[in-house]
Amino acid sequence: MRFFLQMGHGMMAMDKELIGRFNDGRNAGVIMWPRTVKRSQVEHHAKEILNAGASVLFDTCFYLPRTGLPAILDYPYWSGTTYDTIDFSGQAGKDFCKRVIDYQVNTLHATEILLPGAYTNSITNQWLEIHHLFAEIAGEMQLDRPIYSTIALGPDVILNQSALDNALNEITAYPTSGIYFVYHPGKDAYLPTNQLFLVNLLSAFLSLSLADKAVILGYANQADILFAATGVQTLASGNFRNVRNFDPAIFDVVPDAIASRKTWYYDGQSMGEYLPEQLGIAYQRFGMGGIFGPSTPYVDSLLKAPNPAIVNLQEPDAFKHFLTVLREQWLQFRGIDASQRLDAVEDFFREVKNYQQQIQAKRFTLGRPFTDALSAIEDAITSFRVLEADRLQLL
Amino acid sequence: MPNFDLTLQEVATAFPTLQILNRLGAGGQKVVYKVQTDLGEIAALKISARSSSTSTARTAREYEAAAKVFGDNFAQIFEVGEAKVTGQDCDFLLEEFIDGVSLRNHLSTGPQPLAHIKHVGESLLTALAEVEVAKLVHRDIKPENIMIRTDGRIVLIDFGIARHLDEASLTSDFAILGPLSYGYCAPEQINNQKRAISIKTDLFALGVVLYELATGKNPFVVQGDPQETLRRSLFFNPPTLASLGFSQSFSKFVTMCMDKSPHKRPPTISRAKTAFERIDWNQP
Repeated sequence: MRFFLQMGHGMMAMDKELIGRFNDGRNAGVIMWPRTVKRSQVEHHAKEILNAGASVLFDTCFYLPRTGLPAILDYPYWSGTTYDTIDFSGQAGKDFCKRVIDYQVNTLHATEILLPGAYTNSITNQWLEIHHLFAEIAGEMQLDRPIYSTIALGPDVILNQSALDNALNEITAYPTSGIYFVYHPGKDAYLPTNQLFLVNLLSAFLSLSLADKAVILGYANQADILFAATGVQTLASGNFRNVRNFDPAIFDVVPDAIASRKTWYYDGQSMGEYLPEQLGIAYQRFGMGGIFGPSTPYVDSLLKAPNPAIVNLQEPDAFKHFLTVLREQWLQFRGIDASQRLDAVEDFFREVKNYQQQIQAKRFTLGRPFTDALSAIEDAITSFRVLEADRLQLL
Repeated sequence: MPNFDLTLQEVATAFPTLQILNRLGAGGQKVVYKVQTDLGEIAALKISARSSSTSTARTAREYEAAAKVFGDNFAQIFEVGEAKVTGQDCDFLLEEFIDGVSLRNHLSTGPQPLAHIKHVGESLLTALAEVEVAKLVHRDIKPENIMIRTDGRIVLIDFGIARHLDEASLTSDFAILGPLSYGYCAPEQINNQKRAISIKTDLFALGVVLYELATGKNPFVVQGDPQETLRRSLFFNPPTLASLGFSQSFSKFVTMCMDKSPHKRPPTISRAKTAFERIDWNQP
């Protein structure tokens, strides 16, 4: 089990600090991206992370191949490509993929290679052809490091069993060592709350795992801990919500100027998120001091204050706290045999429910509780156990 | 194009070190003879006329594939080569003669005993493990291509439409789909989803064969109606073996192998073997 940082706006300094704290060698790493940083910054940052002994990966953000976003296109592998008309399933696609790999190997010295992958909300033959082609090209290059096919799927595919099967029938046979999987839960859906959606994802990850594909789940948040149950080995998450949740739309628009925003504290125990002023109310009016946790150095003063509302929780600290806790939650499954992880994950969420019930018992309803997501996760685990009992025995 | 055929004398002239015993069969551009080698081994000599680039490529693929797998569950290959027979360019394969009958013959007596089913399943999985290592897919597993020697040894034959998974040149031609064996071909073969063809395609057929051995009946075949047979292979979920009185463990294995989606079948032969070993054969 590994935990990687997913690059987002303003992550570079945080990457360095957290990678140092994690001190986990190549089991820690950063998935870089071009969207909010200049090429020179990416290349410099890759060196910094490699020098720190961690893994470096690069997400080309190819999700919308015809994007006009200058930051995404400002890379050498795009040169000579008329990206607005190119058919990526032909020779041009092969050449493009080779250039992407070459950039990662020879310029970034990436420890693992992420192939380009286009987002889709319906499985078309063209999409299948392009991704097969990319995987085949990478396989032929016989690189000395792991290669991951990037698979970016939308909610309509994930909810449509037949479409998902169609994709998985091919993906499980790719000549790549793994899959960098990102999914869009739907518009305005930060945490998935649809049981069928979760069951289908669990089954998909089970198929990938049984096919001996290493899976990196990108743009992840706390709900994705569920997928430790079916062999996802690496979770990648970042600071802002747009890198804790995959939304293809952000790859087609110029990033917004950073507006004023609120700073949320992640309560790992209940998996909900709360503003300091909401914690203040919880402490002061509901007598809930001591209920929230676990703490990290980044939020110690917040949780120990008699009134958290008057503590100025800095945004970077809130992010670092979130990533630190999420990492610990994810890595707790590291020593558990794959065949036992579903049980362990179920126990984990049972514990979360206990904490939620403590909060509910106090009739405290503020914040962004995890209750709906947890309910869907519990139902999904139950259904998944029944539907996949036989294949689970193969883990 | 007339069928290719040769007299025993013509074969003897072309292969002077072999003693030609009799003709075993002929079809299209291929003839098969029972022969004795100069070392005294009884062998089968397959001779294929080079009629077109397509059939030549297919023959070459069959012979190459057959030569890549070794073990008790395959016919031993003695020689593969080219020869001029009656002035015509031919490819030939000299392989072990299988003294026995096909599983199809056994099935004519109806459902098979569990011990026999277990033996066939174990043997085919052992054979498929070799096929997998060679990065091949047999693609035509059916009772006619499973021979049972007089000593009980199970031999998987006929690599005529086998596919090498690494040969990119073959991924674009018709040969990927190949001729279909109705009732045994997997949904991805019927749908010509060539990129989904893998060793799991063979596991589908294995599941069908085991189901047929247990019940005496192919679950998809509708006699005289190949289209309906294909439709059932695509969409029909046969009654589970458990519902017919067999053990849950056997039933689950067969059902998993026959899943319409390849990604839901056992992903490797090794994993399939593990699941097969868990079958409780003592239960009815």
